[in-house]
Amino acid sequence: MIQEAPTSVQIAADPYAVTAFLGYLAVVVAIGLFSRKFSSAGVSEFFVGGRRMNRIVVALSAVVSGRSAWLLLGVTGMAYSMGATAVWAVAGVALAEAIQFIFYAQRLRRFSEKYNCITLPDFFAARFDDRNGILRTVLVTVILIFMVGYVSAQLVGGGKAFAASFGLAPSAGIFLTAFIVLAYTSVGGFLAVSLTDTVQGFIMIGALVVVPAIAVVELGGLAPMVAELRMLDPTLIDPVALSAGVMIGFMGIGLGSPGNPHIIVRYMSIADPAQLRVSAVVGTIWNVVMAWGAVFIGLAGRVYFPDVSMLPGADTEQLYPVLAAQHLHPVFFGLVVASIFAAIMSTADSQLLVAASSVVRDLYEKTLHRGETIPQKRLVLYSRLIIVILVAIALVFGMLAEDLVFWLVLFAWAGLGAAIGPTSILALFWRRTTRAGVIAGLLTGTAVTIIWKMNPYLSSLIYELIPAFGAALLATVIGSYLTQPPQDVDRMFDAMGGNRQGSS
Amino acid sequence: MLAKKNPPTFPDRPARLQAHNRLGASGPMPISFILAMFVLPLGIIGVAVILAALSRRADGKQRGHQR
Repeated sequence: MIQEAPTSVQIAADPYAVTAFLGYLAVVVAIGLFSRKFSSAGVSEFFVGGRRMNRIVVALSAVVSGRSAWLLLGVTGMAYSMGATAVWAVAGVALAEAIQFIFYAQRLRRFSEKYNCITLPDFFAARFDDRNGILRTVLVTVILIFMVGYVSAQLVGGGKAFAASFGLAPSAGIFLTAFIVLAYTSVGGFLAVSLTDTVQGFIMIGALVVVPAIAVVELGGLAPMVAELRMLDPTLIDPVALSAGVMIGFMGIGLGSPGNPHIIVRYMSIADPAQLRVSAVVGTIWNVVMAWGAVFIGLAGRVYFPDVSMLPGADTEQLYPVLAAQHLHPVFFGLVVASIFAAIMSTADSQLLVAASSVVRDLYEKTLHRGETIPQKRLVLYSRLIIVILVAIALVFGMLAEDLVFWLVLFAWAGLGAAIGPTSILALFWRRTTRAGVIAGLLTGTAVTIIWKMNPYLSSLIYELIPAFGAALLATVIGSYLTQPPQDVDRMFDAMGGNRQGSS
Repeated sequence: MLAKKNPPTFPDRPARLQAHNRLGASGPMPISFILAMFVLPLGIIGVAVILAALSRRADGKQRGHQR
């Protein structure tokens, strides 16, 4: 019997699914406890894992930190609505991060070790001899505003996912998400975050391969799926059914990667910078398989649920859990729900750690107590306390000012990408870059992102990250040419791994 | 036991598709779709592999010059 009338599908808690999900949470918390001793040694261990991370751990943690629930819920929903054109939204990110791993990451990692940098502001301060702390303060301000908003949004997203998957009240779900992330991040620091990211990377890729594979096989294969999509709407199988502006905007999402510190700091943690080449290949495979898996889920889901009203709340972002609930045994459905939380928590924990490092390392140790020797144990203790405080702030924002949180997040990826992306690229590759140029670039990137986004006409033309990235690049170059050339730049470029990639 | 409240609509879809298939409804996949869904992802992985190999080679040459 063919049911033509749209029927909404609901998901309910199942004991098997709940057990599988709790098993996943137990693994995550156990990793936090396992990492406690290592991370307690000092701030370098707590914030960059003592620069002793394995190439696979770095590859997966860098990739999954950057892929929040946007990939599992947003991209699947986008492919459901827009069809194959959704590939452009993920292609730019995958390509940008492949290039970033090989060229950007190696230079940053080598410089970081030489100058003992454990945060991104540390890198900028060392590279531009920021004695009065202005550059560091500007960076910390930008990072904190966006990161706390980001963490808050992840907690709200986790709460909603709990509500949708297990029938919990959203507020209870937000608290539960916050508690779990807080538990392993504050106890285990960077090592716990990286190891849990690695486990979460395997869960995410497993779910994003298995769910679309089963869904397509049950449709009779790819050809029948494509034929059905063609009948529903021929543009669903046309990957170029977009205006040039939208397509460039989709590809431009990738420009955000070199500016998001929770991704960049992963590169600083690898034991051997030469191994970043292996991380590049592994990370790119992970990025590509997860992204195209999400697009296939959207396409197959459109065949199963041709009308959006068949999805809970007519919400396309419900497609992934609904499709999984329909096709998988509850134990595996529990793991699919775990994959959604994996995406959320792997992003939230990394952002939380970056925000905490900005407060403890950049503000407290390097600005307020500059030149003083503070015991490492005390700094680690402060870092743990700051994580608790930041989670509390993120919770308050998430519970009481959800609109503000989502307003901040609208700008976060593009704002950080436009401010930090071009300035860090120029800092790594262009000798003539100066401190004043970087400050001009940081402010211009942030300002253009906000102005562009808030102007309906401009934001309808192209994704704000692209013009803001270009403007920040230009402002950094002009600002640098208008000020005195930096001193001692050859020594710095040598520290990055040789002169061959630099130009004067 | 599946985790669902209402009976799903999807089990009818494969049957419907099989009916389409019998009627010859499943034509060839458009080349642009094949390129975007299969060639593009493989191409991105290929770019990563090639860049990694080139970077390794360039480092090797630089070390050679330094010696």
